[in-house]
Amino acid sequence: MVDELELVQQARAGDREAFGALYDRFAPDVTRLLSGMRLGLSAQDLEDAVQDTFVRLHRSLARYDGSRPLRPFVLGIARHVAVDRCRRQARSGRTKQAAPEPSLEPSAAERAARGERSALIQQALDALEPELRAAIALRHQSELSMQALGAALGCSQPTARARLREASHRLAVELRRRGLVPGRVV
Amino acid sequence: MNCTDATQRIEERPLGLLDDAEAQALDAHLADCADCRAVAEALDAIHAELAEPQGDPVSLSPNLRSRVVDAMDAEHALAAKSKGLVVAEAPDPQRVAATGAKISLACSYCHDRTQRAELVFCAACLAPHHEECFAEHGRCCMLGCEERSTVRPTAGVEPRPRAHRRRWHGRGLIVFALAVGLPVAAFGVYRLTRLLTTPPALTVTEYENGAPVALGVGEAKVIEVPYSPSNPPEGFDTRPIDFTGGYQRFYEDETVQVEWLNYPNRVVLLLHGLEEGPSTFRLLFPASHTALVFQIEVEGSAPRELAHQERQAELATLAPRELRKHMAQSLDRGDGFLEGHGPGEEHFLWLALQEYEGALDAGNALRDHQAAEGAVLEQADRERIADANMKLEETREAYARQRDELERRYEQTFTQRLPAKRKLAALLALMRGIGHEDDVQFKRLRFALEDSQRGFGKRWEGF
Repeated sequence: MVDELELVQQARAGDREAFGALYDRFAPDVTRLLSGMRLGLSAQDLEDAVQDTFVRLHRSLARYDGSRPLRPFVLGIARHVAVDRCRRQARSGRTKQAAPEPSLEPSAAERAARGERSALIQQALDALEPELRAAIALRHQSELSMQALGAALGCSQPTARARLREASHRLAVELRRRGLVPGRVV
Repeated sequence: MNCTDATQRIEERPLGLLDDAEAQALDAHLADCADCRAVAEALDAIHAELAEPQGDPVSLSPNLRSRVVDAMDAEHALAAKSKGLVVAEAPDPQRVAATGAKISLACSYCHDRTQRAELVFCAACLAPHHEECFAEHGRCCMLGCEERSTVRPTAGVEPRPRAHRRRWHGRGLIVFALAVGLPVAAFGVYRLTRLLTTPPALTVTEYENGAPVALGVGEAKVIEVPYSPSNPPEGFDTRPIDFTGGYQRFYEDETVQVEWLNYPNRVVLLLHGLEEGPSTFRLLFPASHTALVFQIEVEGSAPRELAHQERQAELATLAPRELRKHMAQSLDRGDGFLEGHGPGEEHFLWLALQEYEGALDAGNALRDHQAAEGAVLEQADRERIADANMKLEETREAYARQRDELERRYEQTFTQRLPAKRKLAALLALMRGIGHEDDVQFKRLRFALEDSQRGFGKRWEGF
């Protein structure tokens, strides 16, 4: 397996193979994070976002110092792309419902209930600030350590922890407000 | 653990924010509390749902890889091209207008590119935003800017250039006029009050209650007069004094010459007796309207003049033969003078020469007298006179050499940049050597030297 730093240096030099290798290595993580944001992107939009991430990665390679792991760095860029998309969607109000396909064959009533529930979860997520939403998505989809998560969020480890804490609380509040979690809305 | 704490931890647990101890405490609480358990189950289920991968990476279209690699390659080519600091030429405004090109800006919040006319701008920092983005964020999203209102460019209204500068220009003139006019007005009022108020009468004090300062002709005397810094004498000058022009001659009549030297706390007066007789001068203190009057009495003749007159008188009384004897003695003594060193020897040489010439004149007078009487000089006398003539020539040459040497040394001493103390000491040695100890110049020098030794040496640097 080629060393990450070597790969970065080759990519900086304009090596197409290195670009391809970077894509192969990080495209699944990036796609998972972008789709994990639940922005309701169509397949075409998702691919555009992935491409946008890698173009931005190429611009940012110059400031990558090699002393830290590359994966949080790439996921940090993907987070930026996701947050920008999120803000754009919030402005245009084009957010679409993206109901996941049920894996089993439930009854019609259950399917309706489930669709309703997913829509409510989506609303709760939409009500969150994009940065908090990205923090939750990173935590769930990337399996990064807390330190690497800090690097991906562009902050220190304690700040990343505090941001996750705020995100979890805000999400719980929004879910309570929509009756998805029992309890009083404070 | 109560339910409030438990609720917070229930919220944080799905994101893995609890350590082992907290997780155990929460589990213990959930085992007892059915309400919290219900909340925890609901939240865990939702987070589990959120953690499920959405879509499948494999479902990305197969040509995305090549698209991405192409895009990265194009980006690289663009970056390599602009690395050579190629400065783009400014577009021709007419051409831009003709092509209908519009400048697009990016929203500071969502980074989406939009036409300028569709944007609003932060009222504080003018960062471009979409109106909806600004409303969503609630304030300007630039780091450190907390502005909550926006502005929008108005079409057709030309900004007034430099309006504020013109305003400041007018204010600057007023400030300048005040800055100049107020001091001038204050000074005018001050002068007017000075003119209108009559000065108090002058108080005259006699120095040492009117006892005259006794002084010989050619003699010098030093008087120090202390004063308060707030009450300086007239013409007081605090500038550093240089040796050549620092003494200010402020009084001179036929009898006495007075020079003064300024110090921050005292005036040093140098009195120099010129001729026999009484004299008066006064030192004025304008601040206190007082005057200090000095009565001076110059007596007798200068000691050196007296000595010279006595010497002349003594020579006049000598018989011709005694004069000749005196001449011989002077010659015998004179050998030693020529070997002397130092500037002081010059004066003794000069005196010896004077004396010798005087004696020679006396000898010549004697010879003429005897020749006139028809007498014949003794052979021994003739030889002696011839010897004396030869010796005189030698003495004159030696004197000229000594004089040159003296001048050379004087030049060397006083054209070099030596410490003032050393120069003064050399000059004092010179003057003491040529017997000018009673001279006013000598006293002045000695005073200066003592002064420099007392710590005022800096004043004399560069002299």
